[in-house]
Amino acid sequence: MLEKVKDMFVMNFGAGYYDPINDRWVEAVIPNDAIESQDGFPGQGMPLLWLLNANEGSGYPFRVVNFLWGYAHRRDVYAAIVVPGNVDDVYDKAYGVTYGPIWGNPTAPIIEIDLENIDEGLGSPCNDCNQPANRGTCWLCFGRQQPFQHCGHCQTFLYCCDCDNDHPNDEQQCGECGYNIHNLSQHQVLTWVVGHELGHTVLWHQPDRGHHSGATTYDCLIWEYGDWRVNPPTEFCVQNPGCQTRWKLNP
Amino acid sequence: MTKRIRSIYWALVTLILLTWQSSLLLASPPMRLESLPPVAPKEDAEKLKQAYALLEQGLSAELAYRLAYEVYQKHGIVRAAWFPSWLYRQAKKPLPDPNDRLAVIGSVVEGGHGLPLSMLRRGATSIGLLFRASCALGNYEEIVKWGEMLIQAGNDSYSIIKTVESARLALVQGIKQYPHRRNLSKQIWRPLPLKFREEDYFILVPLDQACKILGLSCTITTNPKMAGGKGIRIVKPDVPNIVYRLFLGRPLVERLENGKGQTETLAYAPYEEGGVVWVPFYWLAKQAGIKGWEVRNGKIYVAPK
Repeated sequence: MLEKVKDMFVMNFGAGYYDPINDRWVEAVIPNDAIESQDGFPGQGMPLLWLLNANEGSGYPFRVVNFLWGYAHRRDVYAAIVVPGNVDDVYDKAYGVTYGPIWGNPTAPIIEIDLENIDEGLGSPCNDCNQPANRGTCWLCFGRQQPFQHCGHCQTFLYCCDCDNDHPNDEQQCGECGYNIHNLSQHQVLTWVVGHELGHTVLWHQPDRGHHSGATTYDCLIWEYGDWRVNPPTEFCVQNPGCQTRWKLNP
Repeated sequence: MTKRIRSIYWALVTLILLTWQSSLLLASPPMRLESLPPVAPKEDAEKLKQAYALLEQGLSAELAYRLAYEVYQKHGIVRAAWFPSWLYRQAKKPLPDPNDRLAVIGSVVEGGHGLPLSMLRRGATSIGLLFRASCALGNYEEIVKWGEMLIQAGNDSYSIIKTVESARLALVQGIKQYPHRRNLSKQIWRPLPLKFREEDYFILVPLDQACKILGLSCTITTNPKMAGGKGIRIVKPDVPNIVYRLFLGRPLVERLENGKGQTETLAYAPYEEGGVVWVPFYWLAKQAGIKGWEVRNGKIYVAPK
């Protein structure tokens, strides 16, 4: 297969925008900077994404990425579409799904982001257990497979209960554990998820739609899981430069 | 000229949607499911919808499990999706079939309804709900059973894998049930003098009245610049530096803490009808620090704080 060295555009349907028809502001659901921020995708493995706020601009909805096609300034580019949605009727608890490749397919490469499921991972109903030290204890306890009774108040990874031990048998003190033990910001997580899904659009033709697995790909955006680590990946794939070139913009 | 472009555009959209339907493959974390589960028949879809609402509101997980299990026994793994009822009342033109994901997303991309239909659309599967209900019930054997089934069906998201691993570990240690679950004594719960309506199995309350009764500080101002034409702010009196902003027709909350914002989600979008702003009670109750509630004899009963 020929190497793809292309510009990549992303149309964000979750961006905030001014609605001129109704003369009002609509809040962002997926902030633009989750896609374009220097904090998000600064790595050499990522393209410089051209972000389009899909909700703004003249001529809506007749805007196309290959603007002026057939007349002038034709550019061979790819565009992905990011839409906030709900994916539980297909992939329960998934943070996002991708519908197709960015090339070789006449369909639009749509990415659906499930903010509610992301929120659940970030979320933490038990305030006491939301303290990083306490939640870290739960996590370590689980990770080391120690018997739960050795873990103080963290009975299981599923729930944290009464971390200050005021009410040791009180269900009202309990809450489901989230996964965000390192207090990642919503922006970091969104960036990670969107980047991962964009990876699928590029690597759709590969086995498992491009998911990378194994220790050497742990720091890659397209690693098969999102595990709420201290420093989420921002590189497309450090260990597989061949994949990176598919993303390179204007090398 | 514009007319010609318009007709070419719609022809392309139709072509794209048709091609899409035939080549639908979903990917991402997880990405092994090659085909969607069948849509549940209407009556059973209603049961899944009710089970979803029970779980999202923190109400009876037992009933949610029972409903989803009835559907599973009859049809196996099936899915259902729906829009909130108010959307049908307020939509100015026909809505797409909520089970048709591509039509819903297509509607968003085309900007047809002025509302985020893909977010207002809710859905669930029979086994997804059984898994969630099992988690809420703290039953580790059931968590493993349904979780493994989800994973086998391609739902290998990180949270499911980790939850199943945790439950397995508990079982290895001889723990079958989450130990701190117990029945709350509902004898001491008190009724709230608050009218409500039930829609899509969600308990909805008028925001202004609910805030007074729950001790929250709420303001609803006419603001044409905001989505839905209303600016809605909610503050807990004991935490004045945190402001929650709600948006009509959007299942979102913006949480502003010392001016820094974070978007959170709602299981049911607030909406306005007849000059009344209806908001899901479960969310307000959570903000008011209420740990348990239920509807009994036509009234909302709440646990003491």
